[in-house]
Amino acid sequence: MAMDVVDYEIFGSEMQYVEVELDPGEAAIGEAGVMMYMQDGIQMDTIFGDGAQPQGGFFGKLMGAGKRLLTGESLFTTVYHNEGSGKRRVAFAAPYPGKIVPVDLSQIGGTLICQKDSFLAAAKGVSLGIAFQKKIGVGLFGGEGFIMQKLDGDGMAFIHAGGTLLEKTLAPGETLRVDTGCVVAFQPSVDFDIQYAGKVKTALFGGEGLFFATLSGPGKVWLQSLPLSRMADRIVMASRAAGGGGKEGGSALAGFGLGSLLGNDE
Amino acid sequence: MSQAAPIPARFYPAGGDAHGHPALVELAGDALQVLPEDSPPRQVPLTGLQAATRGFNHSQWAIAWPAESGGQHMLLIDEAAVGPLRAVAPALFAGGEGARRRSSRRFLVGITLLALVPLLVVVALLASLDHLTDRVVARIPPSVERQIGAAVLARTRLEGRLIDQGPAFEAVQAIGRRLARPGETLEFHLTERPEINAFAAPGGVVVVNSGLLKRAASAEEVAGVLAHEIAHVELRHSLRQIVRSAGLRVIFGALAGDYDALGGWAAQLGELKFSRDAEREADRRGLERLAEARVDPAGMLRFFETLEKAEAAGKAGQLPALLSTHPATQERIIWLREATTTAGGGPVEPLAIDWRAVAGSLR
Repeated sequence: MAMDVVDYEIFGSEMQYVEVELDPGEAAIGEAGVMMYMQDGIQMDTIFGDGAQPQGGFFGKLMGAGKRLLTGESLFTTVYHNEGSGKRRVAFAAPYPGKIVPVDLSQIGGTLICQKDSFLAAAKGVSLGIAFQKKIGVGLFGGEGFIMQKLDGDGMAFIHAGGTLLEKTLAPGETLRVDTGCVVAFQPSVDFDIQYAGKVKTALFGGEGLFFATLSGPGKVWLQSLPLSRMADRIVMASRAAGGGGKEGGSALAGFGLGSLLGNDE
Repeated sequence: MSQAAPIPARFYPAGGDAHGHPALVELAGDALQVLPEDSPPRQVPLTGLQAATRGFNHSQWAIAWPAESGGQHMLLIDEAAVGPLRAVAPALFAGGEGARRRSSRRFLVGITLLALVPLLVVVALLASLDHLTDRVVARIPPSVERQIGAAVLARTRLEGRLIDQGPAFEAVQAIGRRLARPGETLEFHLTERPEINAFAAPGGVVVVNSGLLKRAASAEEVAGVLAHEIAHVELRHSLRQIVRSAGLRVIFGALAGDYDALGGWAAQLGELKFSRDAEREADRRGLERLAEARVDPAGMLRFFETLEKAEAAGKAGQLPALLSTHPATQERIIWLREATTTAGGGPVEPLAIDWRAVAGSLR
C-alpha cells in the first residue's frame, strides 16, 4: 500500500483546523463535510468507500461503504488530489470544540482503534475499517458502543477529540480507569475493558455511572476531557427551550434585581 | 528446527520505559532469540516463557518471562505475525487460545441473547394479545363503552345526516325490536350515506347506511345484516378491536422504532386477520339470533348474494365498504348456504313491513 506523505499544520487552540500540504500528485481523504478551504489546483473527488483499494472492484467498494455506514459516517469519502504543479494546501476543520490529534500510523505499528465519528482526515491509502467490540460488557457499558473505527496504513491520520486531549503511553500492566465516553483512541495492544464502580451508592449518587472504562498497557491511549455527548447534554439542560433554566452563575446578587433583568425574561 | 524469518515484535524490558523497543524475534533451538533494535540480543529458554492474548479483541500476544532483577520482561507480538512461533511451540500458546475461544463463545452467546430477548418478548406479547385484550376489555365499564358509542355516533353525524323519522327509520326500528332479546339496550340509527354499509359501535349502537336499505330487496335481508351487527355488539367486537389495535401499535411501534409507517402497516395486517375471524363469528351468532326471532335466514343469504354482485360490478368503481375488512363474500355465501340449509326448518314469521314503501321513501 503506497501511502502519500503529507505535511500538515494545525491552527487554533480550542476549535482547530488542520492544513494539509499536498505535493503535486499527492492526495488526502477527508470525512464528508469537514473541508474548510482548499487552494487552486486541488481537485475534489467523491468516492464510494474509503479509497484505500483503488482496484478493489465493486464488491470491495461496497464493503468499504457498508463499514462506513455502520460507524455512522457518510457512505462517501472525499478525495482531494493536487493536480497542480506546486505544493497546494487543503484544510479540514474540527466539527466541535476540541483538539485535532495527528497520528503517524507508521510510528504506532500501523493500526489505531478509535471512537467512531472521530475520524477527520488522512493521507490517501489509509484504510478506514470497523473494529467490532467483542466484549459484550464493554460494548454495552464502555461508552463507545460495539462499533469502533480502525485506521490501517502507514501514513498520517487526523482524528478529533472533544475538549482537551490527553495522550498517554501505558507501560505493561499499567492500568488507567477512565470515565466511559472519554476514550478517543488506543493502540490495539491496549486492553479496553470495564470495571464495576464498586459501590451502589457511588453508582447512584457519584454521577459517574455504574462502570469505569479501564485501559491497560502496554500501548498508547488518547483520552478526551469532554465527550461531545456530555457537552450536548449540558447545552440541552441549560436551554430554556428544553425547560432548563439559566441557573449557573446565579450569585446572591443575581438572585435579586440583576437576575431578573439579565437572565429572566418570563 | 525450522529456520523461519524473524518475527517483528515490541520488547518491554523489566523496569524499562512505557514505550518499549522494536525488536525481532527468532527461534534458536530450544530458546527464543530476542534482538532489540537498540540493545544487545538476549536468549530466553522456551520453558521459562508464558504467553497470553491481550489487547483489542485478543489481537496481540504478550510473551513474558521473569527478569533476574525482579519483575518481568515482555514481548508483544501481533496475532498475524505469531504463526511460525506457534507452529514450533504450540503448548506455549494453548492457554491463550483457550481463553480466546471462550471469549468468542461468550460473545456469540451474548449477542444472540441480546438479539433474541426483545424478539421473544414481542412474540410472547403477540401470542398473548387475545388474552390480554380479553382482560382489558373485561375491565372497561359499560359507562365508558356508552361514551365511546356516543363519540362514534357524533362522528357519524358529521359524515352524513342521521335520518330519524319516516318509513325507512321506522322499518329499521321495527326490525331491531324484533331481533333484540329482552333486557338488551340497543340503539338503531339510520344515516344518509350511499355506501352499502352498516356498523356496530361500542355501547350497543348500530348504524345502517341508507345505501344498504336501497339495495336490499326485503326487510328480511336488512334483518340479516342487523343480526350480524348486533352479534358484533354482543361480542364487544369493536371495543376489542380498539383495544387490540392500540396494543398492536404499541408492540410494533416498540419493535420498529421510528419507522412509524412500518409499525402501522404491520398493525393493520394484524387487525385485518382479527376482523375476519370476528366476522365469521358474527355471522354464526347472527344466524342464531335470526332463528330465535323467527326471521327467515334466507334473507341474510340473499343479501350477501346482492353484495357479491355489487362487489363484482364495483371492482372499478365504488367498492362496498362493508367488504373491506370482511372475509371473501364468496366464502361467506358458501358457509351461509350450508348453515341455513342445515339449520333450516325452524318456524318463520314474515316481517310485516311494506318494503316497497320503505325503498320508495329513500331517494
